[in-house]
Amino acid sequence: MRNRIVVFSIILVSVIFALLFARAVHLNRGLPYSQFTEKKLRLLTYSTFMAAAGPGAEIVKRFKREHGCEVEITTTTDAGLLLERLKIAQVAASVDLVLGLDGLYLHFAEAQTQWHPVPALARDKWNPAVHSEAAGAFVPFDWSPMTFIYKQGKFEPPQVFHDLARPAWRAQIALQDPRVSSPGLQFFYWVKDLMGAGSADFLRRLQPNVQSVSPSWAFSYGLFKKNQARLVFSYVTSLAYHWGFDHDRSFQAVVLPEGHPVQVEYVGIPATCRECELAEAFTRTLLEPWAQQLIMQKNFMFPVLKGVEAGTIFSELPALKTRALVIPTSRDLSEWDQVFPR
Amino acid sequence: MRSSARLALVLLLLLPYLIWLQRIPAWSLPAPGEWLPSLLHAVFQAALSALSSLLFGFILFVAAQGWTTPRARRWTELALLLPNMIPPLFLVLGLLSWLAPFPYGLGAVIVAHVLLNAGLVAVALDRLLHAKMGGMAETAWILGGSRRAFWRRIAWPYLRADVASLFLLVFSLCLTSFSIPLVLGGQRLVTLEVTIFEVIRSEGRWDKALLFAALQSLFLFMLAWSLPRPFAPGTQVSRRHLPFLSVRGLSGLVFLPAFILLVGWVIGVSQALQVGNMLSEIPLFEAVISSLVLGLSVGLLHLMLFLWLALVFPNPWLERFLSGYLAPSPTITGFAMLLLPDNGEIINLLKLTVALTLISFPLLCRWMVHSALNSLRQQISVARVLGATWPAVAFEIVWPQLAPQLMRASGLAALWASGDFAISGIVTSQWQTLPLLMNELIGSYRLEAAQLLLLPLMLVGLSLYALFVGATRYVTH
Repeated sequence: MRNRIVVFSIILVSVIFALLFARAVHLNRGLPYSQFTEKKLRLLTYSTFMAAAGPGAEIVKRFKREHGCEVEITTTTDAGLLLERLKIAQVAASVDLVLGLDGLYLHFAEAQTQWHPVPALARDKWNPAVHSEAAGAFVPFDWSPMTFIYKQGKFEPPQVFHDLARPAWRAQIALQDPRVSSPGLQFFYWVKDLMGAGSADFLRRLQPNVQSVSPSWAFSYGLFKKNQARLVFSYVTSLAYHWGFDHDRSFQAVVLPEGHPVQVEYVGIPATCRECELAEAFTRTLLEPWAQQLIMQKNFMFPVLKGVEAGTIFSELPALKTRALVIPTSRDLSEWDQVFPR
Repeated sequence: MRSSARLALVLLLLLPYLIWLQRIPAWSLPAPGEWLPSLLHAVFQAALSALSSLLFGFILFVAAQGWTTPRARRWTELALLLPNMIPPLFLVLGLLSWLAPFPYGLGAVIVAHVLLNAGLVAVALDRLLHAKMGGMAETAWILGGSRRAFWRRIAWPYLRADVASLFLLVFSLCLTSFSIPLVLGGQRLVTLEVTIFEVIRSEGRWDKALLFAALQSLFLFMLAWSLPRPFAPGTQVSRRHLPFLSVRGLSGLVFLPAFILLVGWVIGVSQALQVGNMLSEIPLFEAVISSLVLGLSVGLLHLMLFLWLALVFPNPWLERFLSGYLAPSPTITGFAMLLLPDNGEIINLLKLTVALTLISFPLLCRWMVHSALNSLRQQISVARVLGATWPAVAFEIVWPQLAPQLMRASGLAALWASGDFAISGIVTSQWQTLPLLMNELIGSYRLEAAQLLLLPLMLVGLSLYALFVGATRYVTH
């Protein structure tokens, strides 16, 4: 009896190792021996960027080839957990580059970690929307204005911001929770920026129209795609996916005269970096036209470099008036908590 | 020696807490307003969900009695356990395909939890009744007792401690549920699990998160200790044909949860096929292999821990601990593993295996193993009096009788592990499993493609479960 348990365990362990070997062979197929090198860039980013359909894998592959180095990638399933993951990394294993920091969290990032100075870059070629003095040690690599996406139907989209609180939209708006989601926080700061002291009152009027407050953008967009909501707070560049890949132009963006918030994604090099030069080189690579094009096409965000989107579906997207929001240094969500309590 | 082994087992289960305890520099107690409303909401939701799951699970159990041949029983068990084989997020997506707009709120959360857990309850009741009361039911039938009298006068008094323990199991599953209350709860239906994630995500306050997790565990611990000790069912389930317990016309109901999910999935897939070829860029092979490796590793570690448990059993304190202990939230467990030294792919796989085991082992222990071990108490005492060594007790008495139960529990752990994306996403990105791949696809607008991957995910889960259950015959030969 005891022998049989041992034999079964051995068989199981052998199967696990056989599968591990098959996986390693599959992953390393076509990799020449010269690629096994000592230099290794440790990159921390969010999983969607490195996904099979994302831009990361191709950028990393070309970077490895051009710089003759290895890139060790650590991802988080949620971009908002990057800073927490970085904290842990400082304890367990250092990181050379953090990719995907949200503009809203930069002051937290600066307060929590020391950062390596930004490498010299040709900023004059950047889109004006991403210029920010608050960026400090961080370099933008993509951006998009945020708005509500809807599918054309038998209803009129909101014309001004206040229309969102009209009874016609009862239980039709999918939002994200600002406590755990960056787009959710963008929406909340947008409301605060536009409504000032009347923010809580506006949220109270909006509340019956909110179909769901999701923990992430992906959840809320999934609900919208499942026809659970008519409006979803998202990126204007979401249209590029529907127009370009689905060939479905019935998806449209709400254009509001008040101006829209902008999400900018940044890359930063922690001061504790070991391969700081490689990290700088990777930052420069991200801003090369080919990488910017890849980010645009696969991450569905506008490129930072001016002119890259010319002639693509991105140049056909509605040009939204942008609005620079005032980002408080300490997070106060009290108005939100009043209307959507814990 | 045995007390050291017992202590080591307990310390292993407490590992996430121990890791964090030495890492957190300062502690501050959260105000009751920060956790009390979430706890009350969560308890209310979990109690209603567990009660409804027991009621519907009982109906499914009655429906399952209509299927009598061994082959039919295997299929019905599979159908009943199917909702547990897929990540809760995809269960939610399956549900959403049925109704647009979906009626969000407490009701929706309860419906989802019932759909998820009623099959588990039905399978547990089936084993319990056939193991402990099959003969009595048969006798009651032969003597002409009514079905109602059987349930009221015989079954209920005899099984109520087990039912209470089953309630606690489902209650703890619903109390610690994360994605279902988040997505289906409407604007806000917060559980303590959600609050834990919030304080980590928005405040970076690990001390607070750990205290909330400990509070949740303590609450369940007290609840488990206040319950009467469940009776021990026999370890060998001798199945009887009990038409007496079945209700004509209900048999088809056994497939209802699986049907709801599968139809939801088919609707999603049909939408995916309309969109076109979506799987060309997806590393499906790698994801399948990674899911298999992860599932096998977790199943194997469970088996080892069950053997370890068999070796150190019986002990009243350990039993008390296992009957009430609940692992901290997946976020806390996952990040605790990240605090351990990072040494590449294989070490990360080990960390992930340990993290997943720490989450599911206490649950499976309470549900499938604990009462079965209890039933051997007398045999173990006799063997010890006759001079048997502890290894002999473990391998010659406990293992031969409990092997089917332990292998099934390990198979279930493997199946759950292959469907995990919460912990896998935190601990390592080097192991891109099918659920992680699905999660990424959802995050890049490809919801339909993600739904397509449910099929390989279910196949992987089922293969793992079948492997462990199928190997029972070999290891007990």
